[in-house]
Amino acid sequence: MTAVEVPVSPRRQRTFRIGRWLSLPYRPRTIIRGAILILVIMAIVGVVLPMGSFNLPADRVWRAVFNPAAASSDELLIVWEFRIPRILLGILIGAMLAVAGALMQSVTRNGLADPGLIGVTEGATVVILFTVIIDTGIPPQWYPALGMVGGALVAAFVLFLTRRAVGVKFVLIGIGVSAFLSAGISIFLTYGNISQVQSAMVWMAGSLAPASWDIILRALPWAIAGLAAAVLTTRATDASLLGHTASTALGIRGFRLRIILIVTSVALTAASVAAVGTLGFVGLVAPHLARFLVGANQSALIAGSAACGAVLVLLADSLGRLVFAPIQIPAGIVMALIGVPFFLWLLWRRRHTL
Amino acid sequence: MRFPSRPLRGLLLALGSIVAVMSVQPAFGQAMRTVTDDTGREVAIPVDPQRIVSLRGEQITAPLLELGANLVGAGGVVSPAINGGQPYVRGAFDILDFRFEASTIAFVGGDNDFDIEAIAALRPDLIIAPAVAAATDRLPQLEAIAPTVLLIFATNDPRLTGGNTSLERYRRVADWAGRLEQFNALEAAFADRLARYRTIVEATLGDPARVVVSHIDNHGVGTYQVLRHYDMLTEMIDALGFAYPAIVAEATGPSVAMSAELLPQLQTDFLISTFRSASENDYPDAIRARFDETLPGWQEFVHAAKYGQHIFIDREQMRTATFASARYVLDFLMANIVLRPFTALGEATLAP
Repeated sequence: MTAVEVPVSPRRQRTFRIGRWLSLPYRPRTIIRGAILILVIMAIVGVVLPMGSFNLPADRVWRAVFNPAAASSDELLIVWEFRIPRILLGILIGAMLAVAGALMQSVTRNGLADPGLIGVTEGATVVILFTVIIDTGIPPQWYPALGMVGGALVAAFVLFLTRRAVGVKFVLIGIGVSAFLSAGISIFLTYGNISQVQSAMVWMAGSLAPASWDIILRALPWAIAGLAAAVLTTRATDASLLGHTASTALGIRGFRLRIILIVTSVALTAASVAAVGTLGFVGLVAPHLARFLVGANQSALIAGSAACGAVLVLLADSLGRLVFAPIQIPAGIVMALIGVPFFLWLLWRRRHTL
Repeated sequence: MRFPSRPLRGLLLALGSIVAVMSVQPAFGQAMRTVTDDTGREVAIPVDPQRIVSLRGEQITAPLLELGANLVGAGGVVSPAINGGQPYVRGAFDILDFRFEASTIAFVGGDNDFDIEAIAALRPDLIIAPAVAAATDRLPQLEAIAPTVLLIFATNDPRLTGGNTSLERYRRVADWAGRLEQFNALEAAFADRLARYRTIVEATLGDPARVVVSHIDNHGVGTYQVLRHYDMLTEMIDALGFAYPAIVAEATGPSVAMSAELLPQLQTDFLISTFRSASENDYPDAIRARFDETLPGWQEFVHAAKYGQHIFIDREQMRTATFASARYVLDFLMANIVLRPFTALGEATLAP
């Protein structure tokens, strides 16, 4: 099996192929911009990795990274147990939530759609919270699957009410269901055991502070599966934008595609919720940034959203971790400070079409 | 593509194990013992801890301060209205006048959202944390730094099989901190004081169970919160032998959420509400206004309110698991109930 590049348009678009199995069109400009975003992520990592409340000079941090055998136990603990897992988890969760948002926006053809806005996040939260509050003894490894059940049920319910997963109606019904589930969450918090309620509230604030290799390994399979599904459906999603008649003529099964995109979005969201709690607005903001910075076709949107989401969560968490240290501001709160004005700005821009 | 999960998992777990083992080694020559914490975990801790970090203000930090334990770091709270916006420890700030800025004890962030690196920088040999740490995936981080014991302080937590009064929790904290001897001395002195006060109560009131007392708070959400178990307040009410109204005494949970319609059932000699001396929004006048707003004219049909027997106690001074709080509440009850004339419930008539 060999990789073959087939130029489709000499100036703007090329196709990356691996035998008969994989065929991905791309634009060199998009690749360059995507590479710049990856460099931005690496630059942020380079800046924030040596920073923290434990006074560790940068040279010792880098020694612990690249030559662990020569590092002290303190250096290994701080760098390999605390800082690197937290940074990697931020990148992973940011990419997952952003791609989940991009997929939901593609399905609904609505830039306001975000798993958090249409109740998927709350659906996952309710199920996981219920599991924690009533002390079922179910191990945390199962939380992503449980969250996915909750998120999928909410998505199915919203789909049932709207019939078609398209347009503002879908988002409005989702917001209503989301509000209903938020009331359910409040009931848990009111009547739960105080210790469990406190832990639930910390978790719901969307903090990356508990980051560990274990949590990363719990989320990683879901991320790989979800991102793979997102990548493999890019061409079909692009074709579906041509309209029902044209896309059907091209062999696209619209309903099946929408189900795949929604299930993928729900799975990515549920795994993120299970890992770090409710971290809102990433799925709303990152796809818009990606369209602006990288491009609007689906492959660019997915890759760009993943990179933008990683940057957003990494920045939000690092600001919350470092600016007022040792006071720690959860990334979810920092993201809300960014996301709420952005959401209001989007609503204002679309005030005549809503 | 095949994801190499097993090799990666193995490598990371091996690295983690090495780091954990290297970092939790006790200081050279430090004698260790095994204790069982409130969640049933067996933990090897130093017999005489020299560098303790506490992650709960009124339940752990305050008693450790009272015992003179070797505390090097503590979680706290930041509020613009309190301590000039500087971090403070709830309860310890109020009853023990503890200030981070006037001590060598380091602030390590919030009790639940602490800065793990700030804790590691202190190189503690013991961490005492609330059980909530186990439920938020943060326990492994703490254990990687130092032996960590967990305290349960929720009265209705089913995991706790032993006693869960403030002084019982205090005893466990003292034991873990290697300060049981100091605790026993303080407890003996307090028992002596309590015995003297009981004698005065009997001499003044006769049977203290004739006096009906209840806590009630109004947090401005349209309902009242009545707690049967509220740290030192209810424990000292029990210690002096006062009675509770039926609606509270027969409650199955630790608290009763009461609507305005049920308020007339709360007939007591005394009602006790809590205020915060460190926060203007929680001064007694503001709390009285909330009661009036929820049910105008309530004083006419609630005995304690009608006869000026709705009294206020400083919540933060009352709540710590310390003998200082126990003495504060005892003195409050003596001054406001035992040593003053009052109109007893059976001696008065109320508006229908």
